Amino acid sequence: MKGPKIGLYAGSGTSHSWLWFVDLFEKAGFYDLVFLDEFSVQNNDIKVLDVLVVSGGDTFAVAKSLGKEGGQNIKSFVEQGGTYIGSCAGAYLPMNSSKKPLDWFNFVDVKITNLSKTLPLAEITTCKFCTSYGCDFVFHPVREAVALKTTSFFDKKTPVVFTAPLYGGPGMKACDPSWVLAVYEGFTRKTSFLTSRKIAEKTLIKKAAVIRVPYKKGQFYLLGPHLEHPKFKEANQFIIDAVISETGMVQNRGSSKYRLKSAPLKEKITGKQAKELLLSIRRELSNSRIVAASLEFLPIQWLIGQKVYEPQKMRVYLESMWKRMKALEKNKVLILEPGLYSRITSAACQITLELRRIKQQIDENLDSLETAVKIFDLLHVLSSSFFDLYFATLFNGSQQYHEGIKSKVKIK
Amino acid sequence: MEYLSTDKILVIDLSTAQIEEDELSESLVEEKIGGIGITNYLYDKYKQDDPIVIGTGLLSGTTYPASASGQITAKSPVTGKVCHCPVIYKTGVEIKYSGFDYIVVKGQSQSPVYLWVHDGVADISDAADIWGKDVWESTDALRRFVGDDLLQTMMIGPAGEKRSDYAQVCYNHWSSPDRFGFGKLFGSKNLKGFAFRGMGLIEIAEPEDFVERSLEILKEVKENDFLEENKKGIAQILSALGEEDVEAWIAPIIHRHSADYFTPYATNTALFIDEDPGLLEESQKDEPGVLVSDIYALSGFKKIGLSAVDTGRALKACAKYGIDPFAVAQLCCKTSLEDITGCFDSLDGSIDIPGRGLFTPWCPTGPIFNDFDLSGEDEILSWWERRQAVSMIFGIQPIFCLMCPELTEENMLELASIGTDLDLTQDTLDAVIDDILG
Amino acid sequence: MGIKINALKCTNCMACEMVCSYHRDDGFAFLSACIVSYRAKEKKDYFGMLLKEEDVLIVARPEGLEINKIGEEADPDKKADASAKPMLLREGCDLCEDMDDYGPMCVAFCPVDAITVD
Repeated sequence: MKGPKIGLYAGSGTSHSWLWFVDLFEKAGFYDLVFLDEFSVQNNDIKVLDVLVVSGGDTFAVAKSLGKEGGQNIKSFVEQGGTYIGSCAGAYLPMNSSKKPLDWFNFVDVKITNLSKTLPLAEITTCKFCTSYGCDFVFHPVREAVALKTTSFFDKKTPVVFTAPLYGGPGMKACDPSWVLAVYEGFTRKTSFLTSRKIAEKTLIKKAAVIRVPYKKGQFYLLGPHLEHPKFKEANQFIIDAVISETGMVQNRGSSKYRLKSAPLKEKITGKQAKELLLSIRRELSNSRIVAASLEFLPIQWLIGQKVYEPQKMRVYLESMWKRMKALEKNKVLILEPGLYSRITSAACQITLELRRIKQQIDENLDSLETAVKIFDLLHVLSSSFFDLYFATLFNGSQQYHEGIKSKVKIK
Repeated sequence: MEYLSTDKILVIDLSTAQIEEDELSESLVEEKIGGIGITNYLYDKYKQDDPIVIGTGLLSGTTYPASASGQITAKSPVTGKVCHCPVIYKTGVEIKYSGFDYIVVKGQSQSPVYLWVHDGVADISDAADIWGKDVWESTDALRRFVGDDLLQTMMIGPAGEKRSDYAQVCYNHWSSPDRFGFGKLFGSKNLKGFAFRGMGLIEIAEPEDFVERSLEILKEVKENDFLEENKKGIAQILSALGEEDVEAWIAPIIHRHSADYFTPYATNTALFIDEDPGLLEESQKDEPGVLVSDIYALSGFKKIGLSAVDTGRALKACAKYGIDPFAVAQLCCKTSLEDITGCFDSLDGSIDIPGRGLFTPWCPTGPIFNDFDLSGEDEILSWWERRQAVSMIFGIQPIFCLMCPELTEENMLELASIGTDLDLTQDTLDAVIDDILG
Repeated sequence: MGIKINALKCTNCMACEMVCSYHRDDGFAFLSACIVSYRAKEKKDYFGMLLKEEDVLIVARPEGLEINKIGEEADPDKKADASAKPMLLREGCDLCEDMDDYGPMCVAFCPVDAITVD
């Protein structure tokens, strides 16, 4: 039995939470991972996938980057049997909306419960944390860990209570109750209230937290909280089980009939060339990490799109790659597609240069926003490219199935 | 070598620009333990190439109290002997966390270079932009270039570039324990210096036991009177050695005292000479003063009649020039600041290196604050040499090692064995010390 | 209960940073500590400590304590981003609640008792 081919969207508009999915899938033994940017979605590279994951970030920026064509391709992907998993911003994305450019992604009839029009005016004014959404705004009643409970549509016999963190994700209402797999059950001692408890309860409790919407031959999974967060093992398992369950169904039909026409043949690099490549990656990641660490506690932030970025976020991407260097260096053979070598080394060198530049700009009290934008764009390119190399190399392009995992999911 | 180690020995040939890595084998550690036990071995291995060997103690950078130091082992171009100089402040620890336990530098570069060592990567980098610059300018320039103010450097200044016998290898901006003219050795190789930075992780065989024992030893250490009395800084060390008048003389310009890594006694004192020493906020001046760890240089300038402020200026000038301030104080035969700073290139004479000439007299040649039950000059000198050897095998701050009887060979061996899962015995340590002392 | 720092007693030895990071990583490193020696102004001999708690960053300067809400900009009119994802690089201080033998490790290991529990 082969494992699923999973695409992770890591393009414009995403925050760093897609890295949590990388960790999650690697631990679960799903090694056939593809890292997508907006162009690959627009080019319909996603049609060879079994699963498409869109994690957190700026929903509007994601929608704008993917564009109408990207939206159509996602729709077509799911219609043809694919599984879409959207977490947080990725959950908002396919919900019906009149606001541009979200209206290119009107796929599921699911309503947001944390929308301002659901509240009386007097209560709205107490909501300090919100994002504009058409004529209304989305507000965030709580942050951090909340308690979820599975419904009878998940498992008739045994409801499961587990926790997962909410960072701006939606409370939801589905037009078909059988779509709801888990609801917000309550709060935890770690829950941080951003509105009154009364409003938070009204907005979330018993509202849908995890929804599965069947869509032609495929399905949309909408996750309000970040079930992929590395510290929430039970929530992680929920995702794994869903992937196994959905792609197990796909595998029963045989392997995908699609093959990406433009899929380049990967090449093997060994010996001195492999060593040099790895050394150059290590060198630049180290150089970048060193500067990124020096920025960590500086009192500076950048507003990019609708989102606030801090210097620490640069280190998040770099550490995610760095911690995998040792495993990569143990391999005598590297597997990578043509052009990937130069893409990685070029992005890595450029990031070092830009990080050093931004450090100087901050030290000299100069405007650093443009450099910050460049750095975060480059980090997306580098990390996607790096993970392409990493997963292709470590698992030699072959799919493996993680034998130990038993699915707990019984999808109705 | 899995534990308390990066498992790497770096060998750099400046003549060919070749960089190689060797594994640090467990058998080598079992035989030579670490620090100057191994740097001495590596020196012998590569001696035909007149190497500079940088090392770290087996306990460097751990939770063992005062596990602060690294080492430089090389043949002194002045004395002709193979000597060992401690690497202090935070620089010694940074060497290990940059990814290498030991670094051998041999040959001579055709043009000025510096070695950028970071996270297990070593780059021979062009030093054209910093050759000719003083130590402070060089360190600042590298920190700006790399983008990190926590970069640790070992740098020579104009004294080293001019191959003065009194040239020091300085650490960051500050004078060092180097009395051996290692700065001249660096200069002769066209080696401006090293830059270190790394964020490595060192594994421990039995981490809970190691940390628990470290804390027990620290608690014993803290019961010492000199710590309970809150003594700190270089002046109080001089008082303990009989030079009580230094405290009052230097007090008006003392800013703060700081310690090397994990070292309970603050062996470094910052003097503010161009800023109010009482200032607690960050000074608006770029260079308000100088950090001093060299007690004999301080005392030396006082003895030739300089005021505290002028002494601070002289020490600052020496640190920038990369010249041994003690040698300047001893040999310049001048009494005004202007004359002293003008004589750097015309010094003549030699500095006595005590005992076998292996260890730096930057370190007081006897116990401090505690008497260790010693008496007689011979016994003290013999004890001192052994104590220096031990501190540099395990990577313990060498001055603190002279203060603290609670840091015993037994507990150093104990922690080293717990941390590495190797059976390191007193016999082994004795053999290593005998080998070093010759 | 919380960590109290006397920045004037501190000698910048980094013991706290090492043991805190050990508490997170089970190895010797400096990367994961929530208490960090501030030592970037070496030439000016200006040093102190930074302590990251759950929601705040405590800056223990020699001249006094400064408490900054994490994510809050200097401009109080600007809102923090409620949808910001945590970095997970340095977790907030948990007073080493799982280390019954020591209590907060930084307190236990500070050689000059500059760190205490309030």
